[in-house]
Amino acid sequence: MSHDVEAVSHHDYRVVDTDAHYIESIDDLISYMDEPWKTRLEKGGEASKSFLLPKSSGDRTVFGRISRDHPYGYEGNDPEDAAEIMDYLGVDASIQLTQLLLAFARLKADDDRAAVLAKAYNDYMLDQVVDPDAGVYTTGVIPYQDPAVAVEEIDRIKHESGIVGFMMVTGGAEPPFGNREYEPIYEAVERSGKPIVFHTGGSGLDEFYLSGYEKLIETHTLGFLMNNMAQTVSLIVQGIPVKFPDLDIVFLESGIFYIPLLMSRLDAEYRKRPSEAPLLEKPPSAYLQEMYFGTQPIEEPPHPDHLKHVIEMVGGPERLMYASDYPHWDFDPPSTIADLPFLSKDDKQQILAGTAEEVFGI
Amino acid sequence: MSSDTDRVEVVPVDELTPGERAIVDVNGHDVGVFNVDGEYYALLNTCPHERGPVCDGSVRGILEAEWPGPGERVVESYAETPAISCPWHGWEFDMETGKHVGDQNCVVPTFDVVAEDGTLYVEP
Repeated sequence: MSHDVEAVSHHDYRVVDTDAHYIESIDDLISYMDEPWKTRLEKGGEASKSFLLPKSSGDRTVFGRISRDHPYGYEGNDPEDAAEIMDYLGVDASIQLTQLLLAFARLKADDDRAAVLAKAYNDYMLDQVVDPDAGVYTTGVIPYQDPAVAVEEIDRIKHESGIVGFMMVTGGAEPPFGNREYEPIYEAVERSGKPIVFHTGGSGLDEFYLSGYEKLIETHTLGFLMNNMAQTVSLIVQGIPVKFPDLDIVFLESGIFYIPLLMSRLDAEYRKRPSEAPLLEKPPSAYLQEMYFGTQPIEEPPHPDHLKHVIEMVGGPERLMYASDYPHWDFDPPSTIADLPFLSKDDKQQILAGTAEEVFGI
Repeated sequence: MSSDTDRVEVVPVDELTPGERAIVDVNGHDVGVFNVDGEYYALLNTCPHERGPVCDGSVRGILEAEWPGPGERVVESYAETPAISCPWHGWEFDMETGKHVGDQNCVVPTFDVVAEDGTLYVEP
């Protein structure tokens, strides 16, 4: 019996993977960097790289327990890996998101590292990895720490067919993304006609590791979830969906059970404190139901009906898009959607590709 | 007059000056009658949330917000239309329509108020 992912993939469906990670390295990006950073990193040692982008990580493999017999792990990718990974997963199109820059929110100093890294990443991916003809896409990383530069970067690459959206890393961003300082970014993304994608960083890329949580099971549970929730609340209460009604908003990598929780809690708060969200034209849950959510890591409750109800609560398959998060340790193969016992074939196709086709235009 | 049998006398007009309110019994239900800057309003004194005494609540204009554009601070102001907030949990209702200011599905019943021959009446 084969245990290959491909063997459990379903070839009855077109599959768009809205969140895979291309494992780029700092070394990949150096030749794409502006000076003086290019020389600093070429001449500097390893310390220069860790200064450029501070990172923290626990051991995703649970100290060697997760040991997949597959070459595409954390050791890094080559450009040709993208197509092979898609074949391995059984997906027809793949949005390869950054790996390195998930630590992006760590960049809080007022220097040009965020801008240099974002531009180098975007150029590297466009030059080396992205291949729309082969179904390989990426999202442009937005150096949101400097909104004016971020707008220039969006306008610079927005016509590239390989750039299907623009990504903001939510893990610890300050101030939160509902702040007015980011509004020129949302205006530029809305103008581009492409969606804004919020992808969190967790497991030590957030405040939980720094505040003393010890285990990755703790930081991974909390970091992704709490950061997505924190930014969703900020965006809605500050009225970003009201201010930018044509902006498609996507949240990735926190599963979907947190959405009904936020819907209920935000609506309850809003009925008690409507004067604190005066821009809203309807209860907050209605705005959440206009956003899009990547499914990974999809919850697997003991009673599948509970997942069925949550999918209904968030607005149905039209709000959801399959995501693998491959090669990360908790990746979801397409079978996590294709095997669900309560969805029709049409609903499965909608989640596996339909929603992403509409939102990302692929 | 037959119309007099339906409506309920509240207080003499000159006893409900601007800023004043009165709670009266209308067919067995408490109804709050308000004079807000010379305009009269009447609402059932029962919040649709947890049946709190909504008409005991704070009255002020509905807070409105205007957004000048990207990057600009939202400008907040009070509208002329008054709202009342239930003192239990803050559910806030447009006193004109009885609708919750943030969720039109939540409604406090409202009543017409008429002044006739120096007396205020609530028309159920």
